[in-house]
Amino acid sequence: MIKTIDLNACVGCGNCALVCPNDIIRMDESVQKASIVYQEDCTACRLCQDRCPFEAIDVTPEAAKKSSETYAMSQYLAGLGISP
Amino acid sequence: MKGTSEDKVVETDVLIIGGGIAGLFAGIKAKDEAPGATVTLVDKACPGASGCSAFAAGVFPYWQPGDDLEAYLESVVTTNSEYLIDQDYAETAIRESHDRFKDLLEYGVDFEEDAEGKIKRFPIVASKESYCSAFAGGPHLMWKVRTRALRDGVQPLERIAITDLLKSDGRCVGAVGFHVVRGDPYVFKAKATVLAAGTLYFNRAPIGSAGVAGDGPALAFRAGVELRNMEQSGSATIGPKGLGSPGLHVIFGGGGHLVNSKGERFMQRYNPTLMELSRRFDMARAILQEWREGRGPCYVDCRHLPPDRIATIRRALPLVMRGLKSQGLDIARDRIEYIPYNPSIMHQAGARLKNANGEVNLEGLWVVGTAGDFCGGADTTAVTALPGSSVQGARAGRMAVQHAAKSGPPTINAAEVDRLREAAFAPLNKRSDGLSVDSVFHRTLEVAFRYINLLKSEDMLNKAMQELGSLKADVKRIVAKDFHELRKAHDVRNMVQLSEVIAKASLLRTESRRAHYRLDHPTRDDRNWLKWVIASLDGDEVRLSTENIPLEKWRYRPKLSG
Repeated sequence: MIKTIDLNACVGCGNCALVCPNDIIRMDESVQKASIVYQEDCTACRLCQDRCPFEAIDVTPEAAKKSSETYAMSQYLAGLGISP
Repeated sequence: MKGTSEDKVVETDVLIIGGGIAGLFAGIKAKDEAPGATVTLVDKACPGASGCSAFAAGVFPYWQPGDDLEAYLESVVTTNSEYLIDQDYAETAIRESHDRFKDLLEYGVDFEEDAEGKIKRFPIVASKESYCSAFAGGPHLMWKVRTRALRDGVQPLERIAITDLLKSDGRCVGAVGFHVVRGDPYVFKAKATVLAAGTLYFNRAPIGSAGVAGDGPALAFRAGVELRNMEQSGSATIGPKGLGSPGLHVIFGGGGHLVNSKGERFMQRYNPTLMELSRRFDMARAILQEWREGRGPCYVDCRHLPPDRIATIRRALPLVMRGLKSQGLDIARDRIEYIPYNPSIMHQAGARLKNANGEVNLEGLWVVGTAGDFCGGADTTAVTALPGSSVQGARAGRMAVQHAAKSGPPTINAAEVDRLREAAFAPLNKRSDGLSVDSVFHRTLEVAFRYINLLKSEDMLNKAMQELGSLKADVKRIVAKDFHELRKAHDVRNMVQLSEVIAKASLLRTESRRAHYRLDHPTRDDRNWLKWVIASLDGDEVRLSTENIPLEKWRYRPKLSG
């Protein structure tokens, strides 16, 4: 999921907040920079990273555990009675 | 939140719900048809960056003059859709995919060229007759389409979740919703509505995106539109473990291999003709079968590919490359573990479309893209996903604006608006037996992953029905803390509603066909099941019926052995 936004690199362009499909990032008007507001809902889609002109955003590999594809795979196997 | 004086009311000739490729093409072509018409496009996130479209796996399948159209159509209908697809639609979409490809070039989408400056074409998974061209990633393509739509005067309204369609005198007259950040209630009054709100992926992270929670089919269903083929659930694709981004076509079309833990190209066992160009859910099912038989995990292996193929893959899948790098992996150097991704009804399930224009059994409404049931129609060919959605969107945009030109202002029933607004904001009300949205969401995911995915059985589906019975009641108990959670609550509401239809339809269809696979009925039964399963809502009850597929109207039908 999204880990951090480097506030030194962030110029407050708003691209990340604009594109985030899940409303994770909003602009903090008090400092004119992007802010992570709903980190636990981040799916690590990386659209924010893709649109950030200054590589200010750090996203870790795993999306939130329960909604990741890896969790899904463990459930497919569980439904079929297989342990991985 | 009571009182119509607080509503933000938007009057528009054409309302488009959803800003993926289908919705944006509808907007562009509506404005092209009638430049003076008001075309409002509403999206619960950002048009051009939400839904599945922005995560498109870097290729656009299309037919062009010189390709064998008849062979393409035959494979789409017979081996790919297994006769479920409307064959008139399939032919239209194949032909018009070329026009939409030319549109994308005009909009500035960067397609990969060879040394002579000619656009490269590649074979694509699922069909030996289909070809595609590679573009510089989903986000790039969608931003170009968005830019064109805005330039042409489509008016975007971002961060507004639509919770229900509005009807009056048996016609669709608009929609209601709320702003997901500010919470303002919205009422849209439209002479024509294009519903392009996408499909259902059982995840908050469907192919990397979020919120593809079934809004398209659920909004249609609650407005009295029939759904069709809802038993076509099952992993929409396969992808790298630990990421949310797939991207098969350019990998397998480029010659990548799929191997099991023994290094065998196991698709030899399941589809020796197509191998890694098999339909995506076939490969997903094959991976699960390999696991069941003790030969998992499974991997994509591109280590044998020449540098130019690797370069194409890197360029077409920027988000996947970022994700692999963060795991310390590189597609040229490492085997990448691949797993079935989340279940989805994108395989030809959704609102029942009458034709390529997206007409449905509700006047004033057109349903396009993956919200309708044509779009997964024949996996990864010109009739599905990006090209199918853009063909349908383009047609519906023109139809809708023509309809708006002949229509007077819609009459809105104020009591109906009040009722739907109450329903939209109900999860904000505190209650002593309240449940968190995440708890209901996660239980829904568990039921979907375990019981209504790639491999189903009567026992598993009965378990699903039992769980879904209590989940339906639990949805009513969700308490949302803020407007962000309110949007999630509506996502869950849509997911649970559609899950019931999927489970019921899967129980009814006692055979296996396409993405629907019954462990207890593993073969295809053309004698009894050349039928469509249709679902409609009667109060709170899901009603199913079957209809013979009208194969006598069309060119292709299976031979039934005596």
